[in-house]
Amino acid sequence: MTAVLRARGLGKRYRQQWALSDCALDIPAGRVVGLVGPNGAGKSTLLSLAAGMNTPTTGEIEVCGGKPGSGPDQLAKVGFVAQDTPTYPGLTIAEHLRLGAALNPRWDAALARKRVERLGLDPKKRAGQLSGGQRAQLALTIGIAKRPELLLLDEPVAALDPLARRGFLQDLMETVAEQGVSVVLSSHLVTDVERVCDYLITLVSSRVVLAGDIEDLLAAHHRLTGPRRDPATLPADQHVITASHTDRQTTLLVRAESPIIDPAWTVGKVGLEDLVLAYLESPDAATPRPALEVLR
Amino acid sequence: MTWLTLRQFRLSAISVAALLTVVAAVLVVVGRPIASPEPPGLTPDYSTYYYMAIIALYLLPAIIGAFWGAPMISREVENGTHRLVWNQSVTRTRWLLNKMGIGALAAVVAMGLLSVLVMWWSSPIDTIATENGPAGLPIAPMVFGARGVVPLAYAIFAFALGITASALLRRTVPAIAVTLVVFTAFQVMTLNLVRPNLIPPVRETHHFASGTSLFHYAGSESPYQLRVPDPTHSWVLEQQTVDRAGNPVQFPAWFGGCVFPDVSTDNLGARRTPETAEESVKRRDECFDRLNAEGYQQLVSHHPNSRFWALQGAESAFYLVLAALLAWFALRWTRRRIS
Repeated sequence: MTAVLRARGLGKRYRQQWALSDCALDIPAGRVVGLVGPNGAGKSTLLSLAAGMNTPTTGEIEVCGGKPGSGPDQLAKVGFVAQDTPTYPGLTIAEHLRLGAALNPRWDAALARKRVERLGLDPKKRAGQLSGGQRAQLALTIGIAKRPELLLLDEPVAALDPLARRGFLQDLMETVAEQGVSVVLSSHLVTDVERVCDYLITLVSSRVVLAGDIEDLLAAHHRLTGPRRDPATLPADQHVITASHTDRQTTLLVRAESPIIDPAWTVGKVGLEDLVLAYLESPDAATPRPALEVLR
Repeated sequence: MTWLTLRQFRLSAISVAALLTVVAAVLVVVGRPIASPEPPGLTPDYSTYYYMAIIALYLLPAIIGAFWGAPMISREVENGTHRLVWNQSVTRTRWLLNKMGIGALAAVVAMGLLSVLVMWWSSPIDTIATENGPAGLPIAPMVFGARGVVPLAYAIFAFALGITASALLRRTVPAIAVTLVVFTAFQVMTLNLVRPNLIPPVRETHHFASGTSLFHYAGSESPYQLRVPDPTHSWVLEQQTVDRAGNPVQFPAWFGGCVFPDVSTDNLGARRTPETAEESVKRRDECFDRLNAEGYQQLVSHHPNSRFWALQGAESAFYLVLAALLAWFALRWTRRRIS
């Protein structure tokens, strides 16, 4: 398994504020990675660092085997669709494609043209006249036709209405399947991620609290319901993420390496959204400790 | 990359081209001036156009700096498009170098055209220019900056200054304002502090002579000043009275009383007979003779008109070196500090 993105001790500070700290990640190639977390958790910072728009304050990051932003070859390997999908309002769609062709040696003109046709966009139209969804599609087209090894998308659907959102993600999935490109997609909505991603990274307060294959993450977490009980009495390999108690009953969300065999518990599955929310709520998520490496 | 630069530059280039066309049309329609060395030399109408042409030459570099240079990076940052364009397979250094190169080339062309146009139109006046009019000598401070090659250097400098402000401030309107203010302040400063010393000025010492030397108010207030005639065809920087050892001094205390004695009364307050014109001239001659005998001299520093091209070269080089430093800084800042 080769890592398309590898970070060690990665941190970024803006003036006094740490936007990202002590981040360790290994993102395998060929995955569609969802990067979730509340606003201001450091998602954009991580993507910026990966694209080479920013330089880290501490630690190091390696993307597609190179230092981000280190030269034209490195830039060619990484596609970045920034937040709010910026385009030049005064340039037409055709001129945007010409821009992509002029600035990228591996530019796939046929792919770009076909995508624009398929989306029903008029090449003569200026980007300033496009709707938010169309602009996002244009930015994505430039990112994809560049033929990168890794495509970074920073909240690409945040400004879109639910229909345009679904259309965009659907289209992204099809393209990714055709091109075999690795994708990291950030969103503050777990539902977006659930729809298209197979790998999840959760950032809370500038730290990575959860990272792994979504299926494995779901398999390793359980909701336990049973008679009231002190969570401290659980076996050592069961790690409590959240606990809630009523007079008689205790409900726990635990991460466990081995099957739950205690007959006192009713074991339930955890949905992805609940799992992410549990980590966002969990008090120790914000305390400095190594990120949970669920998978080895 | 060049395609994108040209495409984005199109509107700015057309605007300045339109401006140049208007200036050219006005000067051509007015026609070259008829000027004669004898008074009145130049009609007031021609005089107005002459000065307006000079002002146009001072304005264009500021326009280039403010409207070509200052928006270059800040507009991208304001629209977020820097995150689009800097994530294609071209480094931002190359992106900026390309924009700087093409912009600087266009600035030289625009400035060169205007400069040639104005020099063509003004040449009948420039050829008869003296220190006393009807127009300034080429070496005179105001004319100097609007002739020869320095306007081109000003334009390049203003352009680099605009880009630097753009990279530092990342907002277009403040960058334009700062560019205009700094550029204007810098031009005034250069005129007063840098240009006189780019080449050591000619320093001459003159003896005083009653026929030609003047003793008069500096402005409307005292103190009085001693002056000798200004060198002709020169940009005079300073006149200073010096003593025998060459130290700058005031005129000696006795001199005022010698030249302007209280002639109406004698020491006892009795009325004197007024002195004749001959007596007056003789007395003045004696005053200046005594001044020379005591070793007083007048130091005059100036740049003769013949140094026009030497000074043009030196000042252009000064501006171009600064422009290069600014460009280097803007490149470095853009590469490291903007995200």
